Amino acid sequence: MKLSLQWLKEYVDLPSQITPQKLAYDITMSTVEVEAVHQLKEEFAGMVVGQVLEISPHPKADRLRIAKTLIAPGDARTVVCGGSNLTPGMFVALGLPGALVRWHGEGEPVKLEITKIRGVESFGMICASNEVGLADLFPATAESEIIDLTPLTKMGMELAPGMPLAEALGLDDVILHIDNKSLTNRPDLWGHYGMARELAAIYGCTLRPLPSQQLVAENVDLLRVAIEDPQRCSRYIGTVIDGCSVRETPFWMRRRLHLMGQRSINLLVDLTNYVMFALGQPVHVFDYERVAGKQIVVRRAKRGEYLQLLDGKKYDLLDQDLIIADGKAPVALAGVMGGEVSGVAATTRRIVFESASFEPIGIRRSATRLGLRSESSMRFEKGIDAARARLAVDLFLKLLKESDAGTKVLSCCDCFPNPPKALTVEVELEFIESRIGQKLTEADVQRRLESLGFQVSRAGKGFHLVVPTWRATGDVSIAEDIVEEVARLIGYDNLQFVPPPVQLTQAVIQPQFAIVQQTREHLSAREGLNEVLTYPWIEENFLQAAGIDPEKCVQLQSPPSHAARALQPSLIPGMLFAAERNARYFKSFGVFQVSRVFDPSAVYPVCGKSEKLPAQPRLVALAIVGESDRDTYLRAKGVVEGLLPGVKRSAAEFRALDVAPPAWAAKGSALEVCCSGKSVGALGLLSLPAAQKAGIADVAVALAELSIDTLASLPAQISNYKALPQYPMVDFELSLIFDEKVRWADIARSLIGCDPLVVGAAFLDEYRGEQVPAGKKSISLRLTLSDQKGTINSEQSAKVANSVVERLKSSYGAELRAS
Amino acid sequence: MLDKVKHLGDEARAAIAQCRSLDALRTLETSLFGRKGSLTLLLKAIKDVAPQDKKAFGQGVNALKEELGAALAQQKSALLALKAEQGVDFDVTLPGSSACKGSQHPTLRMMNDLNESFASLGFEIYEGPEISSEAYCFDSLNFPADHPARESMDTFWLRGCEDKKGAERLSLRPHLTGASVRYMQTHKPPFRFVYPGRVARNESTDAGHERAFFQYEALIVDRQVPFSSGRLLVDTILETIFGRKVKTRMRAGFFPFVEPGFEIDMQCLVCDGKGCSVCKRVGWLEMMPGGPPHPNVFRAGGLDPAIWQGFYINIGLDRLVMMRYGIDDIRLLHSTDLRFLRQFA
Repeated sequence: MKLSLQWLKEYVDLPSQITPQKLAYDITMSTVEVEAVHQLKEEFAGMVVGQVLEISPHPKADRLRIAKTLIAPGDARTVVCGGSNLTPGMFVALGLPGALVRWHGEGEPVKLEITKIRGVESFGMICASNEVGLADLFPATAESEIIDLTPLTKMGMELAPGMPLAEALGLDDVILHIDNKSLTNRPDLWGHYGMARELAAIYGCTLRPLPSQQLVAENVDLLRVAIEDPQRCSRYIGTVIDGCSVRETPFWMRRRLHLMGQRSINLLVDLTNYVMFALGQPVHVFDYERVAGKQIVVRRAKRGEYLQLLDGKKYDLLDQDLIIADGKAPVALAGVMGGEVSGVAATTRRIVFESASFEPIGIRRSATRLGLRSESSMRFEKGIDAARARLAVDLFLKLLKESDAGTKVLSCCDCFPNPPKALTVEVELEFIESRIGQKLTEADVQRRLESLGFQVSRAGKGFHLVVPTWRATGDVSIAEDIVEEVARLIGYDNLQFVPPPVQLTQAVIQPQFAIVQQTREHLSAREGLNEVLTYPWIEENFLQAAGIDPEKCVQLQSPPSHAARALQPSLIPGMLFAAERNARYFKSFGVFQVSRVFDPSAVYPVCGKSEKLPAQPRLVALAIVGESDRDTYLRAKGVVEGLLPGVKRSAAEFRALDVAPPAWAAKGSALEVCCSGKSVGALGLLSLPAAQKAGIADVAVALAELSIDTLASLPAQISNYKALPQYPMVDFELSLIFDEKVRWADIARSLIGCDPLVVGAAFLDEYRGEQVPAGKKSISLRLTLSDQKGTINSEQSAKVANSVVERLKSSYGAELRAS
Repeated sequence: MLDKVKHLGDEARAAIAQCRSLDALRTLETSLFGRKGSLTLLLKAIKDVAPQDKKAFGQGVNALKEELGAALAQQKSALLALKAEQGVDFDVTLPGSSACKGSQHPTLRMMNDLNESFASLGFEIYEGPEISSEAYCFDSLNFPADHPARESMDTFWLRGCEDKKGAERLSLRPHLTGASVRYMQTHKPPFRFVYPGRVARNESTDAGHERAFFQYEALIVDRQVPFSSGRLLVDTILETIFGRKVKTRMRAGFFPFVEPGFEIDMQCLVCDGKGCSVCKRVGWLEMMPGGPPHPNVFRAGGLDPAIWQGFYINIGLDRLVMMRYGIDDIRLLHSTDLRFLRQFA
């Protein structure tokens, strides 16, 4: 919303030394956000009033003429001009060299220079209205028409050559741009008078009263007003005015409308807009002759009714729409827009002036449904007090009389069935003080509240307050609201800082959250994986790749895209997404995510009353991408093995998941990950069909997913210290040839315990190829021997080696490989 | 026999003198003094020499042992000095080798930084559900029915809740604040806690707008919490993030769940408040809303607003992350793109 500083000053005397910047800052701090301060004078820099003395033809161009123009008293220069309406004696808008203009009203502003135009030097430019942003104020009626300022002198405005244009036109104003969002809860500020009142309160200066009128009585023979739905329309003032004859709006009013960005239409329409920008109360005028049956009915639309509005379009109405009807049909969509048929025209002599109060939600619904957010509906949907409807009548009548002296009010019907009771609030001084955190005096609080329009009386330890009508539409209703009023007028930045009272509390120890951070740190810092974030929703091809039916997931009503309507019940789809994205740029990488997922088959453990939320367990998932299936898989397995101790849980145990492996896992690759005997997740290699569905080609992907919630529920493991061996340990390496079918886990099991001296058996390497027969593999391993009783000698270790080889021979048919 | 000693001495002396590397010297030393070294063998042979020659032979061998030992030591120190003089023999400008290129997500890292700062002030962490209900997202937060703010959030409602209301109408949460009501309902005041997390709104996306993003909220509830002391929360957050004191201001703002409502601005760090393109020439950046819980919110949480006071703050983490690292497109944060994420290793 825009506010004109000059307009505000009509209502309030601001402190004389205040700059527009300071004003904007103070409004921002105490009331609503000022987004920008626009000094119009700067925009018109270099623009002056010029007076054309003589005109002569341009020697080389038919369309151009040479105007000898006074740019200051006694300083005449030549200006080349193509204006079709150029006449001697004319006052013009002259852009001096250095001024900014838009050529033909288009493009970026250009800086004027002294130039030769077809051989004749031109000192600046005589401007058309669209070249200096004044098309609203001086609408061109023909092509190549320049601004003619001469008529202004007949309106009592003094013009002289060399006067800065902004000053001459009264445009040396400052426009404050208010952020509309911050005005949502302050319907009283949607006009200049409301903001002037706010400024009067902030600076403690005087607010001038609005004009008030004695209204003529209702004449039911001329107009009857009936409100059929008093819930939706609490007040309707219908005024019949005769003798409208003037069409031209006074320049000062057109100027203000121009500053509001509002085009001038004709006096009656301009007056309604002016009243709205002044008071924030939208009003409307009907052509009396087109109101059938001499009556206005405020009612709900009937099904099948329609209305052609002022925008020229036809709208079908529903019974939830509130309309203004005459004796026959709808004539306006209440609070949103007038009908085309009943609108005022050039011939209109007699009018019905409407000033009414409508209930906000209904207005908003109709405006939203029909896509008609007008200046009017924007204001009504915030909630305007009924008292303002009357102020609007008084202001409209006063201005109309001033501009069109022949007008006469014939009838005024103020239909106001249930005037609301005054809203009162009780508040104690101490209540305000304890929240603000400092001592206040009763007199100070009273003064500040009264400046905002509250009626204040002292009652007991505090105040009895009558809330002003313009703040009683939902904005102010409880004692806390009064605290806000007092505090913001003191200025939040002026409040003393009060640190919260110090009290010793127990240390905050929350292992259920610590484990998340430990997981993230372990995987990133220790394992070198990159943490990613995927959206809660995911495209369905990634779900299908993970073997998840999107129809069995939690789904969104209006998803970001049709394909991404399901929420992830597992992080595997998200990992596939990340793998697919990054496989374009990297050959090998590892990613992980810790997040909640959404499981509609179970219920969230702590729901509110009658709430049934889907379960939202916390998971960690990781994907290792690389070239070889085996290396990728073993890397993922290694990460899982490291992670559990990394988050202080006991070592991972793996069990083959042959019965119900994850759908995405390649055959035989799935392992169940267990910790302290409990299943915590799964690990596997992405199968080829699954990779294809995810759009992943030519790389191996190993995946693992573990439940953070389960891990958090398991006992934290602090491993006990093991005494160092007293005697040196001995280790030696063996290479044996096994059948392909033999698995390391089985070999390892038979090695441990085959001799009491064996304390460790480590896998070193696997080899196939030359010297190893087909269908066989060579495995190198390292055995570690230790004896508590003494040093192991070479005979002992040779004996162990022999018995190990014998055991592997008999169990698996292994052969010692010749080294 | 003495010839053997002499012969070995001559050979060994020459070999030591010619030795040009420490490795070769070590090999030479082993070939002389090792278990089967030539000098060791001579020493072992002393006991087998005829008694009359034993003395002379023994003295000869032992003298040689002394001599060669000294020669080896001398040559070793000469070679060490030479090597020290020569310096390293590889290209030190080659890049260092590091195995680890892991990274935490910048938003979550900042979230954790904040958690630690608040933990040091005695704040608990709390996590509400990401799928919540209208009852907690709006009803209990003093959003009047039909209030435009309910729609301005562009909530992602869940399928199957089309005709439902309140606790039965479920959505991805459009903000975190509802979780504070869950906490109030299940904990005994006074308390102070943070409840960070992901929220989602159905907006169209561009460099500055994203559908899923992170917020950070804190609430303090006690018998007396003058709202100027809410500054402590604000300052804690900003100092944690920017690592230095940041000038802030509190001004009027409207949010249904607080009364009074504040907008909290931070002085622009790029221009120190002088006005630049980042702060749109204002010198201040809007950082977060805050304020004491509205009495209706306290009531929804089962607390008596006549007894309890409080202060909320709510901050959008993504924007702060973007400011901290100069990121110009918010969509990168959910892109999973390692070319982006590895920059935070």
